[in-house]
Amino acid sequence: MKITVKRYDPSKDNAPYETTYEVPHDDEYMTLLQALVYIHENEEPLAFDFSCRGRMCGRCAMMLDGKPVLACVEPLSDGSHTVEPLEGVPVVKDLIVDKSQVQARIAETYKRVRVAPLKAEDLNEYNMEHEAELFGINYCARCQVCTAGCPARAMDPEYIGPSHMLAVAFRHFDAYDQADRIVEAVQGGLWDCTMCGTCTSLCNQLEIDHLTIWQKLRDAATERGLIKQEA
Amino acid sequence: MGNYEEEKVRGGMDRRSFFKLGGLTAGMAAFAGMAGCAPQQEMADTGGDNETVAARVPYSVFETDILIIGAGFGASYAVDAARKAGKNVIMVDKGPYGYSGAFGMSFDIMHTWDPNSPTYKSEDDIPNSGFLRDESLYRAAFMESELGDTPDVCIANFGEVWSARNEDGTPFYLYDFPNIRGIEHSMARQWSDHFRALDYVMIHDRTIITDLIIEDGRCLGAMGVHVPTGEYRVFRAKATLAATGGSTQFYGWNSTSCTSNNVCDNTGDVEMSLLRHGGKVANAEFCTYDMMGAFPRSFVASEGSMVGADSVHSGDLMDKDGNYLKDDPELAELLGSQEGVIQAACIVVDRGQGSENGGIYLDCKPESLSTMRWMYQRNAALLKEKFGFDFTEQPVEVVPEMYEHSGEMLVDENAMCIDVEGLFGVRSNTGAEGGNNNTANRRMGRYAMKKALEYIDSYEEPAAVTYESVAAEIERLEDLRTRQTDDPIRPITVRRSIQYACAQAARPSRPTEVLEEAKAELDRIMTEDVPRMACADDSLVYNADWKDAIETLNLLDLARLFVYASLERQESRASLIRPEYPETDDENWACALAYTRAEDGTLSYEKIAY
Repeated sequence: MKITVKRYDPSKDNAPYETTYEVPHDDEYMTLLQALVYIHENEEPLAFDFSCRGRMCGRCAMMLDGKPVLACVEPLSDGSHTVEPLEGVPVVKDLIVDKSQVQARIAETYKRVRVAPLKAEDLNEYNMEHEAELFGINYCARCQVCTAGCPARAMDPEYIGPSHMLAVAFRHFDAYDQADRIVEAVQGGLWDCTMCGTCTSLCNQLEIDHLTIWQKLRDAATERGLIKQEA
Repeated sequence: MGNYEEEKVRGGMDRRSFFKLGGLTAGMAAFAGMAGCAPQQEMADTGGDNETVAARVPYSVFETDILIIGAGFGASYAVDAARKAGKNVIMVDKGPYGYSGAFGMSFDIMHTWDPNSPTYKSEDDIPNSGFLRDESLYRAAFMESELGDTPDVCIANFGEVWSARNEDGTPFYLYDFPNIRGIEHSMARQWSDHFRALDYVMIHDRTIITDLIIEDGRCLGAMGVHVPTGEYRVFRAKATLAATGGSTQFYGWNSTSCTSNNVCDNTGDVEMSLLRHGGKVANAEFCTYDMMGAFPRSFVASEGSMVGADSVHSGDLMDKDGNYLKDDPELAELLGSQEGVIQAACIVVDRGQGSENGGIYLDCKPESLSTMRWMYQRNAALLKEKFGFDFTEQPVEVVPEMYEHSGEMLVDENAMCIDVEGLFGVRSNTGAEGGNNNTANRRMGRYAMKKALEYIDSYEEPAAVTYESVAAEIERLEDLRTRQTDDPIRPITVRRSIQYACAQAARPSRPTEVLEEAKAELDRIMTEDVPRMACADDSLVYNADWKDAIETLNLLDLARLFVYASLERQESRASLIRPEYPETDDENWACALAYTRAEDGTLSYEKIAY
């Protein structure tokens, strides 16, 4: 098969360029990651990042034929494909992007806000009403695949995007968190989301039911009167 | 700990005298001999009296009280122990912080602890670890770590929700026995949100530590490369904690990974730096295995996309004829422990009842799958949905994947490296357990930090700092990045040769003949391939070949230690099985094999009794 990779070393190249490699499609369950490893081993040095090989670390997010994917769990059919760095974040080199700023901002949101530390007896209480949502978001790899593919984010980059919104939701549902997360959700662009479901279709964590989560946040915001006023 | 002291006296060396003779001089000699080394410029008078050797390549210097190399489970508990001390901490992470190692995954870790620990009054109350290791250090670390908050409370305050719950909202313990309690669905990445927000913690991530800075027997910090920019960074610290993960990356290669669910970032960089400086690395023959799926190839042994079995779920393991291991009395009694499962699997293979790839089988029919850990169930669901691959249609071939490895520095009762003052080992004293699980990590992290804080309370600044080793290390790295050789081999090719050389030798069962073959091949790689190794890219920006080259040299040393030490240990113990020496022999082998490396690569060892 033919794999065309968008390459760029900003310390050497005038501009990004494309190189096409011939890669044997020799595995019935071939993944994009296998093809990239093949190119680096057999053709020439290629900068790409990966770690866990099972959609848990989120480091191998990139674009395959224009769609954001995790290379480790993306099936690769025989034929011609194009691979590019993940959209919406700065490129360091080839397929390596710098997600440090967006991930640091998301981490800030994930940090639990409390007046005093939890004690052993506190652990006996849990927000069972949102058990499924908490369980699901716990598996978010924060890979930015959903945000890279989000149409609402593309329309309005001010919207924090689904990956970051999951962090807001997680701490909203977390009974141990004492901050006002609904204001944070609305401020982050809860009503910019069009409920199109692209995030859920791109996500590799089958536990996360994005649309139910967005709806629950919307319901809580509506109850608080934090509704977007139509012009 | 008396044994270490005894050894030092016997050897007639302390940390300081040792390093006057040690590897550092070799590096300096190489530097001094480099052609084109500009004469030393007159330096401005900054008030200090130190002789400064300026490298020709600029580097940044960062100063801190405590340097932690690594940023995972052990490092987090270390930082937690530092929180009230008012000290500055720098954490250096090889990958993106919060996204590297087993710590940086939305990875369903099971946390276990001893629910009785708050009632323990003295070290005598603490149960034996059961492994060959320094038990007194093990107990001291246990006492220090777990008599206050139990890990469930501790980790909840790092940001976890504990999503495994009973219907009434109380925690659901997957393990709830008198001496052990365990909870699933721990997501350590949330700890990274907590620790990165602390004012006194500065994180340098995507940075490979390539060398410890050791002068006059003291560790003054470490240096390395910031991978995205190629910038050299020097971290100067009063105390340095080594908390990097064990490396399994020499064990075979299967299209995207070796036969391991451990991550490719772990290449033993800190321990191999210590080895190059003349320090000792011990227990390299010990590691830990799980039985994990072997097919599809891209997912071999990955905990994030594969199904598998260990002592938590050994009841569905079968031989090639479908006989369950649990139904065989000889095998059944082994199945209660992690290393026992590996021993049982090896017996099945030896009987000729194993799989094509030297593994066994896991019955993965729907009613079995539904009782496995959720992490396996979710993997089966993903592969079915995305790849149309159904684990439930046939028994799954499972092979021993190496998920942890020791290869550690030796430390004294204060968790300080016996060879270097001011260097503390978070990843140490794993002994024959074969690597730090998260339990050992959290204990040693907290303990090592408490001892490091005590150490810097009475810290005296060094009489002189030369940074000579920094200049020498920059020369070494620049050479790796830019050198041209006749008939060059790319670093990735050398790396694969190392991995293929150990594909059989690094399995749990290690016959002498197989080890000898691996030893010869690794020695050949050292003498023939390494001199030819050259990068096909000289860029400073995220240079994949340069990173490979740095790591490959470490992997080669580590693989050689593994094979040499495995050959030397003439007994079977825990997950190390020597078919020629099937019995555990405490009389001769209740000791660590502590290796040093001569400049020409010759390895030698001393026995350090446990």
